Amino acid sequence: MTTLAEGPPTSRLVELRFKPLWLYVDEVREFCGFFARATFEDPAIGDRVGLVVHELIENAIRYGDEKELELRMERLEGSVVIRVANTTSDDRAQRLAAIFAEMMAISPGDAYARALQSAAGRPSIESGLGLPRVRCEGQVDLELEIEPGRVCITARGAA
Amino acid sequence: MSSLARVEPLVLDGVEITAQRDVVAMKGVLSMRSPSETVTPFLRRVHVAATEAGLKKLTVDMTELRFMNSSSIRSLVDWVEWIRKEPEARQYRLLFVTKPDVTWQQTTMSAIRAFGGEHVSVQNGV
Repeated sequence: MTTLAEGPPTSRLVELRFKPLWLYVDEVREFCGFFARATFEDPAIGDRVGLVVHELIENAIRYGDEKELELRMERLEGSVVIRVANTTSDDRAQRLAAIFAEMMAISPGDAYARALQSAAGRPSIESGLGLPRVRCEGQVDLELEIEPGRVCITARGAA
Repeated sequence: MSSLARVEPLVLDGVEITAQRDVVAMKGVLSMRSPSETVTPFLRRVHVAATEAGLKKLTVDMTELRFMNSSSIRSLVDWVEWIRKEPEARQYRLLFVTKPDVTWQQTTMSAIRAFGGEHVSVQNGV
């Protein structure tokens, strides 16, 4: 795992590139949460960033191909921007695109409520709650980019 | 013997969940990959004990819970569904006690309260 923090305070950057293993999830959440708390001098932003980072990298590990995961956190124009990219199969990328489009068609609150309602009927291995939770509880706008063999989700929220 | 005393605590790496009288206390971090293999069966045992004891309210103390992932939220969803499926006389209410300055607890439990309707309430602890 490598860590890079550089630049002036207004554009402070964290970049992590690591093998997508489950044992790193809690450590990365805590690190990014504490980093955001210190950078933005706001415990609530630290909590939100920790939640967003946790759920995005958890998804990247669950549905990726276990080869590569990159995380970047930036401060841009009054916002905190978190990007998580991972390698995956094209089939899984297309499935994510369909789930993402369905979620983005309705409001964050409605999407989260719908996900909670349908969670009980899902297979126990997947809750379907991660992305709706990120969008609603993390209070972020989400974007999805798909390239061959790779997906990237960008979360941008006020900070 | 108190209502939930026969439910053995769940102690895993990073998290401990205990059940005493009418209180379930969660401490640590709930972020395992498959809570359906551990947390959900534990909560099911709590549910069975609570219905057999005729409890009408069960307090869930989350004030020492540092984080909960969405897979663990799914375990709470299952819990609410079990209560809904009981005959009305055996149903009970979950009272989640949260820490007011922990943002994720406030947002997560607000969502669970909306989902759970009459079966869920949330109260800020200390």
